[in-house]
Amino acid sequence: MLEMNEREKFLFDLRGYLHVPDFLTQDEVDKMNKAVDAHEGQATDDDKMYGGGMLGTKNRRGLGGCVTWEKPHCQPFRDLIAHSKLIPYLNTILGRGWRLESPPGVTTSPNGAGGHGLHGTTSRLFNGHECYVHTNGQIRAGLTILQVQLHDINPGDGGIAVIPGSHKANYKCPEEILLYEEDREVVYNVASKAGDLVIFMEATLHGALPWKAEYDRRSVLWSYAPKYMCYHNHLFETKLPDWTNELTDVQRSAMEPAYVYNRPLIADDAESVDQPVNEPLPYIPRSVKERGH
Amino acid sequence: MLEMSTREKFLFDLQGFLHVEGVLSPAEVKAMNDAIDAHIGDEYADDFFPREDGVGYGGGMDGQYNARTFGDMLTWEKPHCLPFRELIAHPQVIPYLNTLFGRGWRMDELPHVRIARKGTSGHGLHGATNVAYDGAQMYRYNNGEIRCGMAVFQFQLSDINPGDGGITVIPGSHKSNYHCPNDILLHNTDQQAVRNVSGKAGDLVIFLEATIHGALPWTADHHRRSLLYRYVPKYVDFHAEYVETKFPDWVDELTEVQKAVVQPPYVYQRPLIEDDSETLVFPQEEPQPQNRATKKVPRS
Repeated sequence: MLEMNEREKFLFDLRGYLHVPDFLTQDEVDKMNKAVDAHEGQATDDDKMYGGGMLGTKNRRGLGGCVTWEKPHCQPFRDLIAHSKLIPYLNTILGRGWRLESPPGVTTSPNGAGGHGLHGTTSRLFNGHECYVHTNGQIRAGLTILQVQLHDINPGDGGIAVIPGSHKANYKCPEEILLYEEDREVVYNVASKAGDLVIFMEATLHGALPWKAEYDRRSVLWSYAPKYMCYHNHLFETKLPDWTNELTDVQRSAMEPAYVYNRPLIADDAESVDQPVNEPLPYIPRSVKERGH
Repeated sequence: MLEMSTREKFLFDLQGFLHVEGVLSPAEVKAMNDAIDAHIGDEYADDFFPREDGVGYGGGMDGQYNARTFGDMLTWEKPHCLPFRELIAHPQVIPYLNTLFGRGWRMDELPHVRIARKGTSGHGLHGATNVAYDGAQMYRYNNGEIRCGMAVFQFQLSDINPGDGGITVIPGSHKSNYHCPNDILLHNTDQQAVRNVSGKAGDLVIFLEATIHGALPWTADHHRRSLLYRYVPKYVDFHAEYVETKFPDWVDELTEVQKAVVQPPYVYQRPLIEDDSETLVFPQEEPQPQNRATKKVPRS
């Protein structure tokens, strides 16, 4: 089985992320940038603005649906799905049989765009869909995110940020750290070149610092899960057999397909269902609006 | 959130299984047994057990007959399907499922009834343990919270008296760090490590795929009738047995390797990418189960 090398395993286990220089060729980067140029007008704003050290003057921006763009622009993004250079990393982190969870999308934030508050499951509670485990020489993780840069990230530019080692943390991370207000030395902004890959887990505290370079940030993000897991279900429609229409809402909730968000959950009366966005609620920093200033 | 009691949590964490007495009422047990009686003859021989070609587990698991199984009770005609449908999210069972998985748990595959007559072979012991982490078959405890991969809820529809055979576990094996020797998996040696969980009709035994488990040969004059429901956390689909999936048209344009990667979640016979990055293989499972009794002993 193709695997990460020993140095890469050591660094990923230690820090909860891995920087892989020169993952894409210049030709691959050029094709993706050309495709993004052709679709830039379709980018949408994410207006959730975080305060503290994450504050910006503009919204973050992003483009989805890259794998459904017209040819040839979809092709370089489709080629990422099972890229031959990616296979050793996913085999090592997820075991063979890994599956695409979210297809590639592009972050295109302009100069002045606010950051994305740091968030991650850590090791405080065990969420199997967002976990990191090492047993008898074998790494295994839940949702794993890949980010390849289409523009350089020079030191201090902002963009991808992680707290190395936080995938093994056992205590709640204080909100001042998640908002990059305090203890900034524990946060690492991963400077990298166009074509470089950064692999991190949902278990690792991660986010993005405000974008400060004169040119737009361009990062492609997509994610994978182990063979048995579905997190978002972005890729296919699901249908239950007709006879399940005769079941009660509670019984039917137990036969829902595998996914995480907005799931019907059985209430304590055992007869009704709640539908929160997620349970347990993820531990994420509050936005400026949520903090009331 | 409805949860297990503190005593039950202690016992489950310690042993990797839990015996809960009197979960089903006598009326529920009777309704299920009546439904099964009405369908006798429709069951099939279980491939997990020794096959008709004479290849069995052997050793302490040997017997003369195959176990037989029903797997379609939820679609039987009314009223026979109803008691089985009510067990999908039975109020008595919800606290156990909430504790093992957190809310949002799901039924992984359609339930089964396992029937064994006197002389029926055992099912070799198997389980993922903690030798390697398999997120679909694991046991974890962090900061006061239990979390598991697939769990089996086995309801007894006939009594299991001491020595009858049937459901068997190795208590504590969900935390094991070493491979279990095949002699133990075949119940040939160290039998004191193995517990045959006796109980009454209506009792429930909850165990994990992480816990080494199986069944001993059935020795009682009456038939074994055990009903098995399998549950998983909200994000897992192990068998992908009843959810139909449909992909968008653009997926048809992908290569075979790319199509393999966008498959829905499931475990067995999954397309796996070989080291040339272009070839796919479809093994039954990878990695091979860390603890599974061998099944290569010709039946005597």
